[in-house]
Parts: sequence; structure tokens; C-alpha cells
Amino acid sequence: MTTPAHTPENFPPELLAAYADNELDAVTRSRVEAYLAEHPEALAELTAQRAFGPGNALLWERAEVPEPSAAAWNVVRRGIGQAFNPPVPATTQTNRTFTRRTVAAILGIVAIAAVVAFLVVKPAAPQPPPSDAPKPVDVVNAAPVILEVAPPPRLVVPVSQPNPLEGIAVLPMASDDDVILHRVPDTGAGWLPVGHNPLPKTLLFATVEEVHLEDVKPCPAWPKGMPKMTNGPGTMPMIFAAKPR
Amino acid sequence: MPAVTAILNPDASPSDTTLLERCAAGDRDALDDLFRRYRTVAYRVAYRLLGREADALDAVQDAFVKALKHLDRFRGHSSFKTWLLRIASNAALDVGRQRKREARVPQAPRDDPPDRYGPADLPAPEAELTRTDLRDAIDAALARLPDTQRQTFVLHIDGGLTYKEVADTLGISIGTVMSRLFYARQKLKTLLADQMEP
Repeated sequence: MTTPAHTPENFPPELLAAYADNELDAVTRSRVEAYLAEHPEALAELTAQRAFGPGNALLWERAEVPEPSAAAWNVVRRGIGQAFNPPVPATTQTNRTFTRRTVAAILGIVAIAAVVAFLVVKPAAPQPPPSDAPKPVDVVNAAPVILEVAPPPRLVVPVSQPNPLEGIAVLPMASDDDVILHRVPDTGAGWLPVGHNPLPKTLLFATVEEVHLEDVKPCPAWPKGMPKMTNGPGTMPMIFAAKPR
Repeated sequence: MPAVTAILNPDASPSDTTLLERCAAGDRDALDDLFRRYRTVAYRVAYRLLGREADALDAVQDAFVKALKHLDRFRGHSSFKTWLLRIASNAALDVGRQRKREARVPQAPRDDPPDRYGPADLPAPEAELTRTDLRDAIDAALARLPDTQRQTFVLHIDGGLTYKEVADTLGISIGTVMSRLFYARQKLKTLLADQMEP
């Protein structure tokens, strides 16, 4: 049995690069070492490969790339943040605010309705029975009597103007193609939507029940026209995501 | 036992996977951590491919944005580092190609330093090269390599990737990595023969 000849013709020279970088398995490494023993002229190439390899710490230390300043890094970091859509927490916060307002309005309406209902159905103050009034019924020993109880009076709130939102179940805001989301600066809210389109379909503004109109003046163009819109607190733009139903 | 490790060593840095999950949930601090963890290596790769700090920083920013926006393509098959470096090096090569195209169009002189990638831009040989001179010489020599060789070389040297990691990053075989590195170094040896100390 003879050892296979190591000739330049059957020796892949790129093995010298991997040998210089210590990236070979033991068998291949032995093969390279046998070749180098038979062909010492290849040592010059191995030296060159090592000179430009990661093991030449002196070379790469001297040729180290210049480190950017902290200000330059901050610019890059801000650029990365600005490349993404508006903060999800900011939207959530807006929704929370919207929900709080809605709940407060509903509670207010319920409270007023309760007061009105109480005043309407409030029983009169008990009067002393007249002297000729019949004697009280002995409810313990008397036969049962079926009483018909009238339903409570229905609360009717007069409406001076027709409801402009009547017949509109949901108010669409825009399609996802119509909306460009920008980060709201200086809100302190972190966000990074990753992996899917945050606007997969039409954005729903709100249901009619969720909308409370204030200070709206009658407009002849209704319901085709739009109610007058005013900004919320501050100047922050507000986006309402669809509420799960 | 990661849970026990976390208890015993509460200051242990979170894994890339943890940071990426927190990033996806909108955690800015996680993005800061991820950025600080990999900005330098991404910058070194981009700088070595472009030779100019401003361009390299643009490539780094572009790489982070693309890597985080397309995490669904990443899917954890490789490390985030190799995923980021792949994007960073491709972004740097794109910037370099665009710059070469712009260089072919005559333009009014600008205040920017001249493109170092011209035909005769290697610094003159000197006995004592300064740090900047040597770096410029290496950058200029690297600029003369084919893109594939240059990208492979830089990912290995400046990115600190093993042959297998480079192969996975570029979607090539380890043999191809080996071959590209060998011939890249041969050319560098020739181009920098006068610059290197004996």
C-alpha cells in the first residue's frame, strides 16, 4: 500500500487558506501538513495566507476602522426608530383614553336616566288614612289577590334634531392604503411593529354607540356631510383602532 | 437551565431571541440593547466594504431596519448576527455600486473627500505607515477585489464569522468560502506587497 502522492496538481491550494485559519478537520489538516513537508515552496503561500488572516492581530489592530462618535451612533439609532410605524403603545393609550371617555359618558347618561326615572315613578308620600277608610286587610289570613303591576314608564328623551348617525352602524375611517403611520414624537412610548402589517384591513373609526357628539351645530348637509371635527387634548393626532366585537 | 441561570445571575445579558421578542412587542430598550450589541461589528463590515464612515453608517442603519422588518424571513435558522451581517454587507455593496455609478457621471467638485477607489489610489509605500495609511491601503486593495471575494473576506475577518457561518450567511458551500478567501488573499498580497512590512 502506497501513500497517495501529494502533487500540486492534485492538491487544492485553497486548503492552505483553511489551514492558516485553523478551519480544517484533523484528517485534512494532516494531509496539508504532509503536502507542506513534501513541497516546502508552498510555505511561502501559507505565510501569505496567514498574513491576511484573522490571526494576524497586529495587522488588523493597526488597520482598525475608525470608531464613529456617540453623536453619529445616536443619529443612526434615531434613523432606525423613525423607519418604523407609529408606536403601538401610543395607539393603545389613545384607545384607552377613548374608552374612558365613552364609559364616563355612558355612566353619566345612566345616572341622569336613573334620576329622571326615580322622579317619574317616585311613589307619593304616605298620607294618613281617613277616618272612614276600611280597615286594613288581614293579609295573613286573607285569600290571595292577584295584582296587576303596570310597567314602569318608558324614559323618553326628546330629540330636537334627527340623529345624523342613524342607519350607520360603523364609521369607517380609512383603508390601510390610505393611512401612513408616523411616529408621534416625544411621547415616550416605545414601539416596534415587526412581522406583519399593522393595518391589515379597513380601519374602523367606531360604532355609533361609541361616539358621543358634543357642541355640534345642525348642518343642512347631514347626513352626507361630516360633523365638525375638533382636536383632542393637545395636538397629538389620534388613531382609533377597530374595537373587537 | 436558563431559569436557574437567570436567578443566580440576574445581570446576565438577555439572549438575542429574547431581545427580538421584546423588540416585536415595542420595547425600545430591547432595540437599544440589540443595536449596541451588533452595531460595531456591522459597522466594521460595512466600513471595510465602503471605506467611508458616513456610507458605512448608512449601511448599518439600513441593515438594522431591513433585518428587523423582515424577521419573518430570518426565522432563527441562523444567528441574528449572521442575518444582520448578511444584510449589512449586501447593503454596503449596493451603496458601493451606486457610488461607482455616480462616479462615472461628471459632477461639480464637492467638499467630500475623493473616492478612494480610483485606479491609482494606493498610498505610496513608506517605511513607516501610519494607522490611517495602512487602513487606507487595505481598503483600497479590498476595493479591487471582486464583490464576492471582498464580501467573503470581510465577513470572515471583520465580521468574525467562521467558514461555516460565512457559508450559511452567503448561501454558498464551505469549499467556495475557502476558495474565495484563498484567491482574495493572493490578490491582497500582490496589491499590498509594497505596503506590508517584511
